[in-house]
Amino acid sequence: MKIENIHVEGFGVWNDKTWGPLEPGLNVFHGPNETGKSTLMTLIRSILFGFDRRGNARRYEPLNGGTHGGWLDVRVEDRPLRIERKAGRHVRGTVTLYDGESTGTEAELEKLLAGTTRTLYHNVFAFGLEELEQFHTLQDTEVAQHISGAGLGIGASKWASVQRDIDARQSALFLPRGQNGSINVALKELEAVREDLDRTEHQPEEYWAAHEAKIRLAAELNALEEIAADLRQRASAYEKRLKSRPNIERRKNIENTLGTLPIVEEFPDGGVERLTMLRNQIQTLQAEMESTRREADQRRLRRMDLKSQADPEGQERLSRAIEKMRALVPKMDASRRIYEASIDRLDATSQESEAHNTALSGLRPPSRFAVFGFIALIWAGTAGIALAGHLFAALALLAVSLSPLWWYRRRASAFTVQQMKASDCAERLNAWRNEVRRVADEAREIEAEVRRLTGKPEVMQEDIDLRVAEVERLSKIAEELRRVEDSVVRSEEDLRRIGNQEAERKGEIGALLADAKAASEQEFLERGEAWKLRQQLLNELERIPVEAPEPAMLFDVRGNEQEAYEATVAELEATRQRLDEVRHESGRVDERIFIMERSEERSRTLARQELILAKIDASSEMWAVLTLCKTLLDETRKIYETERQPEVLRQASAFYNDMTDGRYLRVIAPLDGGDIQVERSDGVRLAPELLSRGTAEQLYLAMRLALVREYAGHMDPLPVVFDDVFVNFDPERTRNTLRAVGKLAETHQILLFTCHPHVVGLVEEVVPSSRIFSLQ
Amino acid sequence: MESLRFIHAADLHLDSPFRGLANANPRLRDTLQSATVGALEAIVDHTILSKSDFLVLAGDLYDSLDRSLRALVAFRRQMERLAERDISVYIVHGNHDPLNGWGSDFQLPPNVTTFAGKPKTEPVIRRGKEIARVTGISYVRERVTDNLAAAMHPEEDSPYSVGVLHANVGGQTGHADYAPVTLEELAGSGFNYWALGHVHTRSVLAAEPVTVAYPGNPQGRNARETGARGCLQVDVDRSGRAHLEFIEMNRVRWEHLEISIREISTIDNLLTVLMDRGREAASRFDGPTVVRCTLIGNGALHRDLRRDGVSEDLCEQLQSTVCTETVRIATGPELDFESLARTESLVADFLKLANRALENPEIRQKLTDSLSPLFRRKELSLPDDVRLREWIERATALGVDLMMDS
Repeated sequence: MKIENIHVEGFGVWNDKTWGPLEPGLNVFHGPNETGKSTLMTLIRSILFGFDRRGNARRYEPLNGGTHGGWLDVRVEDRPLRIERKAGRHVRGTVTLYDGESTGTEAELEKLLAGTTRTLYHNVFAFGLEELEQFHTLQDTEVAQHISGAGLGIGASKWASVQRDIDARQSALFLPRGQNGSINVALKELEAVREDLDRTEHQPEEYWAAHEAKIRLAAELNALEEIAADLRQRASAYEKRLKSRPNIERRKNIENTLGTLPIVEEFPDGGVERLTMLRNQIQTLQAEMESTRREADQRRLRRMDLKSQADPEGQERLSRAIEKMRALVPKMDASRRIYEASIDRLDATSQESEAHNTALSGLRPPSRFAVFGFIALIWAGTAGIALAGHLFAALALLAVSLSPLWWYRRRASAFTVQQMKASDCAERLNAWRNEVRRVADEAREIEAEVRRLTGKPEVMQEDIDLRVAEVERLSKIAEELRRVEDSVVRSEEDLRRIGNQEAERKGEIGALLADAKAASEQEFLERGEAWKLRQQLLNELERIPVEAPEPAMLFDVRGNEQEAYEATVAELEATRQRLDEVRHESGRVDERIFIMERSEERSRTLARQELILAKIDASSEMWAVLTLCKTLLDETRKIYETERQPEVLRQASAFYNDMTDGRYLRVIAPLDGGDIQVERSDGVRLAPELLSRGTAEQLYLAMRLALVREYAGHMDPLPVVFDDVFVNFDPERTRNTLRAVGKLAETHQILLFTCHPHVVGLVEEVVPSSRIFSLQ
Repeated sequence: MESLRFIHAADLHLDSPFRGLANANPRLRDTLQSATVGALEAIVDHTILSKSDFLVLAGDLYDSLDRSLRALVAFRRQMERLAERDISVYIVHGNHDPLNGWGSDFQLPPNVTTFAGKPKTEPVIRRGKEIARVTGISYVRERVTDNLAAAMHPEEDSPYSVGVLHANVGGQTGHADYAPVTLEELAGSGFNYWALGHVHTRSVLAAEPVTVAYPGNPQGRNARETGARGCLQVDVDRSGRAHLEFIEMNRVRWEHLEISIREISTIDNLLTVLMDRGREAASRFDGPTVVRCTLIGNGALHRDLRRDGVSEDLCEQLQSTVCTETVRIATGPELDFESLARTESLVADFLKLANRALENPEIRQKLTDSLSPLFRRKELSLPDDVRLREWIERATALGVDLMMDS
């Protein structure tokens, strides 16, 4: 787009004024301060992009009348157009595009501007010193895109966010000297696990060692058991020997004693006792003999005495008398009693005879005739009655007549009996009188007998008792005599017997002595004593155990036996303790082997290691991908920065190089959106803030020129407007800059506003084709 | 010859730790920890139950560096079980349990033949009759770069010759190139069966007339060792033909789920897909399964997945369905890098730079230098080209993603 004419209706100080025609290249508008240079520049911006907001000084409401606004005659790709902007409903005003017959509005204008925004135009195309001084105006997204590769499809902020994203993810995984990255953590864990592994690494060696120890211990155990068995045997042998020592000594003593004893080969069993017994028996027998002899003598004396006292004939006679007397006494009594009884009975019989006689007289019966007569009478009456017809009365009378008949018969019989009794009694009386006489005779005979025996008429009890006592005395003496005689016989028998016994004992003693081959009892006793002692010793000897002699076990010195025994026992004890220890150790080793064989620790640790390694593998792969990505991006950036800097920066570099007369070679825009840097001819890269004010402004200008040129590729370029931007440039740089501007003016229309006449002079010198407008 | 049967296993890595079990519950962690030993137990069970004539273990029975006594004790216990049944075991040592390494002198029962650093041939006797001969050689040290197979020769009068070797056959990548040998060499060596170890993935390199096979490791130990793992049951018939049968022995299975977000629009949908796939993966094995999920592909969801902690959240959520090791996010933004690279833009510069980063020594140096603060540490090591390329790709995606994010 080239401006051909500029017309102001009303804008700031200006109203109804037209400038033109303008050159398609460089046009310089000059005038002193406050002549409206900036206003005019703003007008051009405002027609293209709209008025500034109300209240903004740059809105430039008309001060000297006229409608707010103006128009530009432009030529776009050789097509003449008029762009007119006037105050309208919208704050930015109303635009009208005149294209031959047709008109257009904002939409058509925007097409012409090809997407160039107001800001971009402000910052890049139409700017004053104020904008130039501020670097940030170049950092506007839209502008920066052009600087840092928007043309390559990615913005700086995007680039930076990609970098940040990768960095964040990378450092979350791993930092070379970090602590918290997950790989860092895992590596630390791995270290710990490896330590564990190192710790258990030798476990297998320990296992082999344990196995060897097991074998070694088994061997030691065997050896120790053998030693212990040997020691046990020795100890028990010593012990036996020690126990048998008193026995041996005792045996020796006994044997010695036996040597001193007389040799008695034989001796009867219990000989001494038997001898003593026999002798005792003999003694007893002798004592008995003595007493028996004495007794016998006494008995003979007694016999003589008793013989003198004894009278067997008198005794006989007396006994007979006593018998007779004893027989007479009852005879006498009996004859007396018989006599008296005969008398009594005679008396009784005579009395009885008298009674009978009396009774007889009382029982004399009446004569028979009388009786029968009476009865006959009766019977007659009866018959009469019966005939009379009184049968019953006749019968009663007949019955009564029978009783006198019965009475008579009974009286007659009683009388007869009584007669017989009286006759019998008279006979008995006669017999009793004969008896009395015979009894009296017998009594007289007995009395005669008594008189003969006692001299007295009667036998008295004292007479009998006296004679009995005498008989008894005599019989006792006779009795004792018999006994004494018996005992004398016995004594004599005893004496004989005792004598025999004594002889017998003596014989036995003799035999005993003969058995013991002893000549005397004294010798017998001595031999017996020796025999007994010998037997005792031999018995004892028999009871003492006989030890088998063990030549290997012989002690050098008897006194060392105990010591040797104790030493052996101590040694055995020590061996046992060692055995216990070895057994324990062996058990521990077995247990350790058991535990080790089943230990899962190492397996688990290895598994844990694998786990961590897997984690590390996965994470490190991610980290590698991120890192590779980052490196590739970085390389891309380097390529970009060296080979594929945006055209803008290459252009800027060229402009800047020209402006600074080769002092600064290049302008570099880092890809990550960092500040632009300049590369000095010595290769040093500097940030703009380190440049002097003028040099910095030259840089910014160069970049703008480059950007302007960049846009050339996209469309018919918009006109460029500079508002006194060389203020801080030295003359040389100003000249160089104008030369660069002149170069740009070959392709772009440039409107340069200045209040400096020397600039106008320089422009005329450097860019002769330029057109100069004075605003005055 | 007589028919015979033997079990071929390798790479037990007993009691070696599992990777990535941070999220496993303690009970499962114990299961996992004992899984390698459990797998051996299962092998021994099977050897006994299948009435096999012998067992061949082709190296890397345990990791010497781990110095796990438990591994050795567990191994001995299992060998004792076979000893009780008079079943012979033939062992070679590999690069993880070399003869000069820790534990190789551990006392084993007499039924176990451990081959030394020189090839040796041992007869296999069944009921007084020789049925086969086993030739083996062990690693003397960790790094064996000689061709050990070259020294192994079968004996002519052997009824059936088994060669036991821990080796990288045919220079397989992803495994250290130890005891290198070509398949042709093995096929022409005269052995009937090559019982190999070293490569953890089961593969039968040749079937007839010479059988060359890796049984793989019987228990996967990380998310890269996925699927059913176990041992080979080898049945040799009277004609000398070997019939191989794989028997699963692992106590825990690993599965890797790769899920593209291309067609998934919301996190909820993604979670549903994850859970379905997780459930499906878990249902394939009658035992604990641990899954690793990797989200791949470019899509709109990438933006949501890129946030911190999303991976952990997803993992946490998925735990309720299946034991999950990790949920890895390797998705990309919904951008067309190629057309982006053609533009005149910083992103295009970035893309172009990244694309030639590996080829440009200067940039490559700068990249590796930038990694060194972490990766020069002894716990880690600088990535190989494959890994570096993968990382650069991810870094590129990340960079573009960040730059293009509005």
